[in-house]
Amino acid sequence: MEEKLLWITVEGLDKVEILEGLGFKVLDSGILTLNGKNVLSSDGTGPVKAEEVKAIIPGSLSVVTDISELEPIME
Amino acid sequence: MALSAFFLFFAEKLTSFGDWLKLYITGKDLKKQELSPNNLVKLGNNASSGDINIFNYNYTINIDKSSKDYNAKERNEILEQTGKQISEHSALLILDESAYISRRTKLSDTQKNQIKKFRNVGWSPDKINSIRVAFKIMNLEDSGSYEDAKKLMESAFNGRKRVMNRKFYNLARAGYLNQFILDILTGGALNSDDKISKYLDYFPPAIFIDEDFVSIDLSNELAKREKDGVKQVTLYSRGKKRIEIMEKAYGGYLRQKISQAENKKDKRIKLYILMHKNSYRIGQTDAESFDLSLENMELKDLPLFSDML
Repeated sequence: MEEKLLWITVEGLDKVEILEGLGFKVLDSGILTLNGKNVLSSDGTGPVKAEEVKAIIPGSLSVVTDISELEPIME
Repeated sequence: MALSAFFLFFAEKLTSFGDWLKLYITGKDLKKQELSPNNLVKLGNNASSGDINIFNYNYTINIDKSSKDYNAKERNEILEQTGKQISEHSALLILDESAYISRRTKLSDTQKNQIKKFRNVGWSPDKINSIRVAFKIMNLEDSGSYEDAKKLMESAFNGRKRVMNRKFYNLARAGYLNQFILDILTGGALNSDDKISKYLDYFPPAIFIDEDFVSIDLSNELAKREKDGVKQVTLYSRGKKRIEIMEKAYGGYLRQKISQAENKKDKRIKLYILMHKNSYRIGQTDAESFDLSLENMELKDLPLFSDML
């Protein structure tokens, strides 16, 4: 798959601030929700804690919780 | 919002917002440099015309909260637009440096061919992804990029797929993936996802020592292999702590076997004897492996375990 994505990072904010700015909510337990529902990792597992998020991949703001899940994008 | 509009949006905001907001660009052929609104307009135009490949670069939004004109509302506007760009399939937001390390680390042609063969025999995508990460860590270690290797490894071994990532890294690092290729090429046993899955659960020829490994674990693992008639087993450990654990665990295994034989008044004993101890380095770390062989011998001929280490 040819990579056709802008790779963006945000400096100066912590992970929770970034996620909340994007529209996610981080519960006291650290669990990530979007529109009131628990967020699932791109591999379908969940719930996801904010600290676990390594990237947000295009399409419905799905999150990556393991670095290997980015490989198909880079291949 | 189209990609070109995204760049133009940033150009406008860099002009209208204060100094707290900056945008940087980096790439393989470009050191980190700040993007001016004019440059962003050019990039926006290029996003439409395709004059340069804007996808080759990393973009960094820098927010300085200590700046006197910092505005949280405006910050949220920036993040909201970034979120829209992500959900519209043209941007990837990275929250972990290991992703960039992984992006810039390439696989060799040989590794790509190996992956193709694993895929062709039906190994699942998640296994293929773990193998790709394992190869990248190895490539960084072997090229002397130890810091990057460590960061990628820490990320891979702490995420949700940490068990599989670690197993494939261990198998790749110890050379077993090369053997799997030979096995596949010769029509051997590993020609399906089910079969490699079973190998990941139980791999008779090798035991990789983890930090939480104790003597009883090694004894159980070796007992299982003895029962299955596995003649040769290699123990692998990496790092001073794990090497110590391996030596202690193997010593514990020997003591347990000898004690069992003595209690039963047996004169003969069947156990895994250390044939070779190999010391080497992986990157900047000491590593050690024990080649063990299942032998049936007279108890009196058994050297003291201290001689074996």
